[in-house]
Amino acid sequence: MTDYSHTENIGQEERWYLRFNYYHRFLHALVIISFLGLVFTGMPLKYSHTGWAQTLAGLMGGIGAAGKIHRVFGTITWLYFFLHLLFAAYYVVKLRDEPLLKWFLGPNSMVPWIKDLEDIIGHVFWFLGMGERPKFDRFTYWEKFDYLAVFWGVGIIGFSGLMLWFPEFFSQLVPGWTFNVAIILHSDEALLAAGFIFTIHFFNTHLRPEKFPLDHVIFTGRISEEEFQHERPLEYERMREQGTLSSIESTPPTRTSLLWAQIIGFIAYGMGLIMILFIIYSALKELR
Amino acid sequence: MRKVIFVTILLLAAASSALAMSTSDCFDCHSDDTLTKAVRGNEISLYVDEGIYGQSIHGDLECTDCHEDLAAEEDEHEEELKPVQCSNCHEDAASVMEVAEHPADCSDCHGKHDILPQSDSRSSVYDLNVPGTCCTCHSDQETPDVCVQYESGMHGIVLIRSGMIFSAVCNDCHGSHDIRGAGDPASMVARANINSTCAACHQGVAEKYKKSIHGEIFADSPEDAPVCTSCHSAHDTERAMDDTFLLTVVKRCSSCHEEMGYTFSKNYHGQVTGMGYTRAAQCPDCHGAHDILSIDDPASMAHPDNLVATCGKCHPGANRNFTLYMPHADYHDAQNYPMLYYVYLAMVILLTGTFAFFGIHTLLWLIRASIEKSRNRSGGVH
Repeated sequence: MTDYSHTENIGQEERWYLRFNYYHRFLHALVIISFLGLVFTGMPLKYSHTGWAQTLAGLMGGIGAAGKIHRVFGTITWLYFFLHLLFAAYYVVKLRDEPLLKWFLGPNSMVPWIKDLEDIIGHVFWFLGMGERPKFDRFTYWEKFDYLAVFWGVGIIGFSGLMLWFPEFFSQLVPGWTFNVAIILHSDEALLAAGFIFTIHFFNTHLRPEKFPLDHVIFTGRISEEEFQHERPLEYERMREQGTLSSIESTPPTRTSLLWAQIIGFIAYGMGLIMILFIIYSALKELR
Repeated sequence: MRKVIFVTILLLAAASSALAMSTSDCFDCHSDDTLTKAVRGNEISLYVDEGIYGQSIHGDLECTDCHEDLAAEEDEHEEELKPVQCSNCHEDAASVMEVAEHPADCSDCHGKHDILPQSDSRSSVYDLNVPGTCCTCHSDQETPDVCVQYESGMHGIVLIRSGMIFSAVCNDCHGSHDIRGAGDPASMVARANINSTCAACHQGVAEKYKKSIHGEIFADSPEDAPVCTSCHSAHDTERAMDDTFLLTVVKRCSSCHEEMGYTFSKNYHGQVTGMGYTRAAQCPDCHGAHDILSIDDPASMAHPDNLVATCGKCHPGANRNFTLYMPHADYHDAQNYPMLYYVYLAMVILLTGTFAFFGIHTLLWLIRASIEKSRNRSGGVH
């Protein structure tokens, strides 16, 4: 775990490596901003019968205004989705340095494969004290799940959202009852996404004891050698053997960037926690 | 002897003319504004303003025309007078008052010595003054206060704030002398009569209503149909285009159409309406208001054949496909909406499955990672 209390000489003695480039970090910033924006402008409609939803919508200037802001963040979501697809295409065509199939099923792709299944089982065995912790590579199975969940989520929520935004246009292509279906998908998939990100993703990536209180790598892009060796031993070893480690060696994160990582991270935690409490409160109220 | 008889007759005549009290005799005393008497411990003024009386509609009458019991009195009279009988002249109004149950005296509404013609703007029963007159008794009489409600209602605003004399005042709906409780079948505001009472002004609406499904039911059994006041408040009447009406119209319709109100509130139009967004469709936007018809009626706005036009009011370019949207769908209802039900069920399974798996995963991880961490820490001590 990184200790930020003595940041004077942070990482002076340690080597640092670049895990995420500017583009990755920029896209993740867009994801954070648009996701929080969508959740806060969208959930009031899903829970329109509750007091908090009405207050929240009121703060934004009414549910009509909330709906307009929601569409702005929806647009940002489609934007990062396409920006990512562009990058993915660029990676596959230009940056990829291994054969297509080998890359596709290998550690540098987000595609889940047999190793991930083994890791899930191995990880759970480790949880239960029945074995060693699996050695992870560049992308762990829960990171791939997060990534594909966003892919799936933007697909389902984004497309149903577009349908509901432009019903007159889409009704030229599909019958009107598909809007009824779109509402269910949009709403419940959004609940899944918000619930997942604000609890599971936050824990897996930031809040678990090894990372607590925050893993700054998505903000600073940098990972220390010690953490690299511990968290992603397979990637570290492979790159060391290939002699490519030096290509990603980087300067330590600056104090300013760490401060920003914490500010952004804790704001997101706070907003997530508030929304989770709202959702749980509403769910309990509905049960009664 | 004859002389004696003659003088006696003269004296009697003089005496009798002195006995019959004249109006000016009355004012000898009653123009004194300090003249009072005590009634059950309260001091009551006996002053009558001669000028005001003179200008009143009864100004040409003698006091004794109304205070009949004084006609035979001399200067001094009994303190207790008999009640004035307006009915002696105003037979029609009095006979109506007698059968109605309004527990008021003529003077409560019309005044006493200051009565003016109804058309005089100073009259207590002049249209602009009627609410004030009625409210001397009816304010605070009921909860909610009808007088406060009337003032904030459309009729009150038009009358009081805009000063328009044609607005409805109390007696337009409740009657002038024939005032009866709403429970009395003969009352102007009784359920069976309220429509025609409103129609006195809102004739155009009444015509539409008669042709509507509500009007049709009303013609057969008034008890089973909504009347004007079922949807429009009686005293704090809103304008139908105002937010306060649009945001509560669903509740009003739902008081009978409960199921439809529920399913509406579960869908987009209803959700945003519930949050104060009036631009979304409410019941009348799709079903009509006074001219509402059964959706099975080919003339209904909500009949499938007319939906393109109806949806198109808000959704320009809406086509036949568009109208297949189900604004009252209920995805909990597997019988009527199996498709939506199974989509919903699939989502529930997806959410439950995902959260169950990762919930357990997270919990186990937390426990293991905590154990490892404390082990490393204690390991460090050695």
